[in-house]
Amino acid sequence: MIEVNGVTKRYGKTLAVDRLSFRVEPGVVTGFVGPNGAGKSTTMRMVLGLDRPTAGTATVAGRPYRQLVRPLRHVGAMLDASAVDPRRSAYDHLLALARSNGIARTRVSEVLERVGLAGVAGRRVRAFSLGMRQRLGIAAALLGDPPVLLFDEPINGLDPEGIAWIRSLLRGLAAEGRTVFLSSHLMSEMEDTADRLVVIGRGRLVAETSVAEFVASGTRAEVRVVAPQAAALADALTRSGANVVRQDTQVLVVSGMPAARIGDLAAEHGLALHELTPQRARLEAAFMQLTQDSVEYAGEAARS
Amino acid sequence: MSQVLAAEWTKLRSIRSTYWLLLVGAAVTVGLAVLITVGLGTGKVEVTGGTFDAAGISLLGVWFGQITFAVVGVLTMTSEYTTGSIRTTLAAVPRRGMLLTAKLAAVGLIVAGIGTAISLTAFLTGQAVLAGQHRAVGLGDPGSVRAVLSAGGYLTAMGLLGVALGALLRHTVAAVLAVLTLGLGSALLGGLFPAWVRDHVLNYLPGPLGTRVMATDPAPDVIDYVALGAWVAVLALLAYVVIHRRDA
Repeated sequence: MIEVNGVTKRYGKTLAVDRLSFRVEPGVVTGFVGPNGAGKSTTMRMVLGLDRPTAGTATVAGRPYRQLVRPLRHVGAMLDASAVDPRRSAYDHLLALARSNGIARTRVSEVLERVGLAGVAGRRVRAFSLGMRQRLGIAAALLGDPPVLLFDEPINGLDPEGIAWIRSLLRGLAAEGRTVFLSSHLMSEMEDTADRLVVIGRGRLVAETSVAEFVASGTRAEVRVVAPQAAALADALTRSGANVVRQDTQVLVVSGMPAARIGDLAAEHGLALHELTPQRARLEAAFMQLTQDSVEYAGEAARS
Repeated sequence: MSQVLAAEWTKLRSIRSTYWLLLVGAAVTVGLAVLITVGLGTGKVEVTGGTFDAAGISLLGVWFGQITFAVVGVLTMTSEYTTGSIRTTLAAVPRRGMLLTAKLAAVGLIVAGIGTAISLTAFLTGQAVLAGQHRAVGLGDPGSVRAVLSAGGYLTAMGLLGVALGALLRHTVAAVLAVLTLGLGSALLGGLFPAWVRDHVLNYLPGPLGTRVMATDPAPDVIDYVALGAWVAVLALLAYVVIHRRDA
């Protein structure tokens, strides 16, 4: 469990995080999303005690991070895959971390095996690709077998196989009852990974919700209908209370009425249907709508 | 604490530059002891002013070798900041005072051990050469053991100052320049200052203090040891305060 209570972080005149509060529960994967510069990494650094909040508190398992003894046994984190001395081998990097927290040496080989780096354990990190460094960062997070895990942009720089691997890893960790918290600036990455979402923009909380609720709240449910006698069907649907937009000669976009009812009405009126498709609101679209006001570095096109 | 120290030890010994620096430090310190003493025999090197301090002369190389020991100290701190690994380190050891103490202890132990061994080697090699000129001293002679141990102690102090300055400045070049100024600045630039500044200020920089504690004739004053210790204590304390305040 991670709790952030009214946290504010100010760098000079810049307000990076503004009275942010949320909770991350165990047993599910929680996504931490927001546009670039929204304050995600800053918030994660404050949770880990690396940066001091200007106001408010962040706790892990009820305690401020800096008070944890042997913290790697409580919290595993990958903030930045490049936060490694490239002159050291993967094994020695993890061994030093393990020793600092009284973790057995055998555990180092175990986590290297788990992330698929056992074959290159003795190689210096300098020679690692970004994907390999991500895996090393994940190995470091898993080292202390911690109940709470934080990952900052873990999917960045991974190939499709790596993405599939990390998704199943994260879901597996949550299924074991752990608290899994991961950030991304791309909402699409969360769609198949996260159960819950903490959405921020300009350092403020925009939404704290489940993925399903978020999609539902973001966009009105619409149904796309293709019918040869579109005009007649549009009349029938409008009379029954639906909102109909005629997109093309044969294409209607219907809102305010479920697909099943549209099909039933068409049958009652003896009108043929060639296509009847509920439009799933895209997570990305819902995200854009919610954070539109809080994008800090919006391009000109996005603004107009 | 012992776990954090073990981790810092692992970090030091898992990087090649540690070995290279110590090797270069040994070569310079012992090599200069040979060069200077051989030079004295051929008459190409002369001792100007004062008495002939056989022990002090064989330890003159320490004065150059100190650079590599100071850099070992600097790098243990600045390499964390330049590579970004400080964030990984502090996530594992959020008690920053403990981390700094462990780094000081790891560098202190390694430099005290190896630095003293190198100083002893330089002394014995230098004396072996001087023996051919019939003006060598032995470890049994008054002040010899103290001079060798003081040389090791001075190298340790420079290593510790390197750690503290690395923590304060966080940039390798800045910290190396700072520690070199403390160690060599007075000898290289002292002439630019008025005599009063040299006698009362520059004379108490670590470099001149080190030269005095390594000498047997004249024998060092207790105040020299105290001042050297004070340099380490004050800079380590400053580093302790700053490392707690700053965001990683």
